[in-house]
Amino acid sequence: MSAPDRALHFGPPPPAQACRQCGRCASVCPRSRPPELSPRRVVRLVQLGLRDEAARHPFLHSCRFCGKCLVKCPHGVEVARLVKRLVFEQFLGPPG
Amino acid sequence: MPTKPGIALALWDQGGALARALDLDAFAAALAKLSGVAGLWRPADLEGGLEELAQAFREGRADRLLMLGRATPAQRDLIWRRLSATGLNPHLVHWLDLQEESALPPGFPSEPRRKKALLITKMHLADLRLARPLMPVAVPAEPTALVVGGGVAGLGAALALAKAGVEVHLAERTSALGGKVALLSGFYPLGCDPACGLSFTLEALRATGKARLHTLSELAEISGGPGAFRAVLRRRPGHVDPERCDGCGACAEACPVQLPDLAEWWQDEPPLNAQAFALAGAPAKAIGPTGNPALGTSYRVLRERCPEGCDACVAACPAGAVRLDEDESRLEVGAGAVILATGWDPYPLSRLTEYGYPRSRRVVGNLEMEGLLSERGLPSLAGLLGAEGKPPALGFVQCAGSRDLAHLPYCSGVCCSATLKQARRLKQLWPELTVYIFYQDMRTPGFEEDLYRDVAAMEGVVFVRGLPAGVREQDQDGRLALRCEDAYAGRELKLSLDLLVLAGGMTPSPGAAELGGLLGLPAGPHGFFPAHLQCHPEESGRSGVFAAGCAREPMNVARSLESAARAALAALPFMQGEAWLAPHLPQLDQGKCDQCKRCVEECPFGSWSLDERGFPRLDLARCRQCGICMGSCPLTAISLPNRTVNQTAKAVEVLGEGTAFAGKEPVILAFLCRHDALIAARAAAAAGLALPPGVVLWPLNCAGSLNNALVADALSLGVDGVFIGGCAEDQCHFREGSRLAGRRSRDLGDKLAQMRLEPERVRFAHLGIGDAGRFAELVGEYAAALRALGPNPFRM
Ligand code: SF4
Ligand code: SF4
Ligand code: SF4
Ligand code: SF4
Repeated sequence: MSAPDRALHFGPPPPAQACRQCGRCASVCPRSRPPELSPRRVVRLVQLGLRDEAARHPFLHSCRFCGKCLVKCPHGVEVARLVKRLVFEQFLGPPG
Repeated sequence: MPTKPGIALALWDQGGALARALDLDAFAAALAKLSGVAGLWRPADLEGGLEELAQAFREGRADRLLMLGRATPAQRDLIWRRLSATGLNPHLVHWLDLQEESALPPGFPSEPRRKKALLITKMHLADLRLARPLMPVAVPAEPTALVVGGGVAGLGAALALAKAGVEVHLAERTSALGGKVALLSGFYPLGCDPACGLSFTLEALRATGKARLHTLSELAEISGGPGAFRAVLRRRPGHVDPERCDGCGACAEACPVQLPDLAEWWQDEPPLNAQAFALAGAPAKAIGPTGNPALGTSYRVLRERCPEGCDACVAACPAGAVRLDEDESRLEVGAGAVILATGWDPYPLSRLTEYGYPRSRRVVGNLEMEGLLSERGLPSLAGLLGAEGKPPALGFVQCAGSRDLAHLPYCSGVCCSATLKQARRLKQLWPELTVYIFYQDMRTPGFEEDLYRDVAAMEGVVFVRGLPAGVREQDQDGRLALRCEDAYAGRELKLSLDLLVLAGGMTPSPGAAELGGLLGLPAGPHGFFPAHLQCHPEESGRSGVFAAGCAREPMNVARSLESAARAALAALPFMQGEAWLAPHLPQLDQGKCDQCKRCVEECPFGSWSLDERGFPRLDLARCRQCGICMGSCPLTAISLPNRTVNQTAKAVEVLGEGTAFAGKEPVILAFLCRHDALIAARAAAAAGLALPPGVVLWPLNCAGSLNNALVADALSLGVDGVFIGGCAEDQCHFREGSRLAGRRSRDLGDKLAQMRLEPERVRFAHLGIGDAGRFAELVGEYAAALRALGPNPFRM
């Protein structure tokens, strides 16, 4: 695991609260297949406190971590990092 | 022998447009020969020409002026300044831009073009010949204002007026000043206590020494008009003399009646939610202080709560202020203007039966939440959250009873930000609290977005895109259970909450309809006082009466204050000792009037009443000088003095004699409202759009000011068709003008049938100020239709 990934896994999770569900991340995402396979969905589940569901979400396997979503988000949500963090949670379990 | 002064004609063709369009010398020669023309000026430079013109006025050769051609506003101003120095009245100067008047249709050969220009000039000369000098009219304007409503808008308006030197009577229905704002626990964005701002305003108001604040008082009667209203205020008994009571509290101590309900003391109107306030549990007696203590207490007795024969308070009061036998009293006041600041009332949330309000003590309205978030309410709120050791959770339902066809169809515009403000406060107090906000759209215009962003970023604030359809109380722990679908997640959420806050909307305050009736106001949207939102938002539909704050439409505190300032400013001219009115007040010829009352009925501003003999009498200050009454009178007994029926009739006569100018083309007289349609038509002509050569424009003050008699005149004199242009019905500056004009032109059918004319010879159209192209299109179509009909049989 690279140093940044370690930090991502063990540090505080990227916040999702600021998301307004505008859908720009999904529109720019090359792997998005709405309605279910979409980064916006994943962010939403985290927002609603359904973290377990988010960490099992099939979109986590679609994401290529290209980071386009992260650049486009008007509310500063680091979508790709959040997705990656959830991948870590899925495979490595919750941090700590 | 001195000759009668005539009309000075001035030809000002700076850009050479006239010279290009017609043989100007021949045109000028023809003009100079017209009867009643005192001379023709063709100044090469404005300065020199003006001196000559002024000379003619000083020597009494001319007494009125028709300016032909196009002058810039600065040039008009210059001309006007020079000539007014000779004593010339502004109403005796008319301007005629022949290009704009479609007098020079591009497709026409030069000779008929000159004929048309000459004809139109003659029409305007005929009009000007009958013009009279007019002067502004002064009416008495009492320097006193009546403000109805003592909330933030009423106090704001009162302060603005008092500072401007006006005496203010402020009538507040309840026993406390401050209105709904006094019930709030914090203002966005600073979160400060509204009582602070209110007491600041009150103090400033008292310091002016100009305001009389009447609590427990309502408007009972009103008569008179702008500048000179007479109002009667009815004061309900409070049983404590405010001038003696200093709030020592001895009476309340002595009072044997303990009331369970804080709400009644919070405000003496029906409790907002008796339960929410009762939870705060403060004791109250049948006598005691009302209103927000920070605004200065005023004591009163709830007489219906007193046991028979008890007079403990009377004996206890060291100031001798208690008056148990006090009766209703009445006070007559004069006022130059009335400001309606009657505010709003929360939508009765009990109508939302699905949310169990007010049965469940865990369901409250957003206004009660303000109470719970205040110092007095916090202990109760704490008691409600986190029952049985469960993690505390609370929900807000946005648009509760708003934007809902079964309830309030509109958006109150404040409840989203109010919820965000409350959510932020709740999270500050209880960081572990989860706050759910159920919404359909969050509406946070302007800088309120900052609040939205802050709250949205908070951990533990969850925005759920979807509204729950109901809620039920769970048996085990009394918490609330609800389910709701989140549109974005496509998931159903099942939640258990400690408290549900219904973000309800605003309705007009309960007395508003009655008050509107008393003042004769036309009905406004959704029961609020009417307004002309684009141009005159303070407009109530009656001169001298203005609406401020939520009496006008739902709005937040900042906008309420702005609207109050605006209403005060608009009211001020009616309170300056005398008010100056523009001189275009309609005049009635009693000799012609048969007392049919049509004018009384059709005036959109209620300006006419009947005198002792049954003749219409004008309240000068109410009148908006639209001329709709002039259009209404079947006997042409009413005229605006600057555009009399006679003046227009003379112009129409000239046109009737000159219809030959158009050759085989139909002659169309286009009567156009000068606020919209005329501007569009002039723009079409000036831009050289293809207009039928036979069209002649004539200005109206309002489409509704056109009298059908003039239309019939035109047709009987051989005009082929009359085109009437008014604004869109709901946009009329004078409320009803365009609607009435449309109706009257349809009603004309019978009359035309009697004249054996086709109804198509009159056509009405709605035109906006930017509709130049549409005007060209419509009038072109009309010309085609008239060509198909053939010439008017009356045409010479
Ligand atoms: S771009 Fe940002 S705000 Fe928009 S849906 Fe994606 S995460 Fe949410
Ligand atoms: S302000 Fe918000 S809660 Fe209030 S009616 Fe409008 S959208 Fe609904
Ligand atoms: S409409 Fe004309 S005739 Fe009728 S009452 Fe008014 S002024 Fe008199
Ligand atoms: S109709 Fe217009 S002009 Fe006539 S009285 Fe009413 S407001 Fe005045």
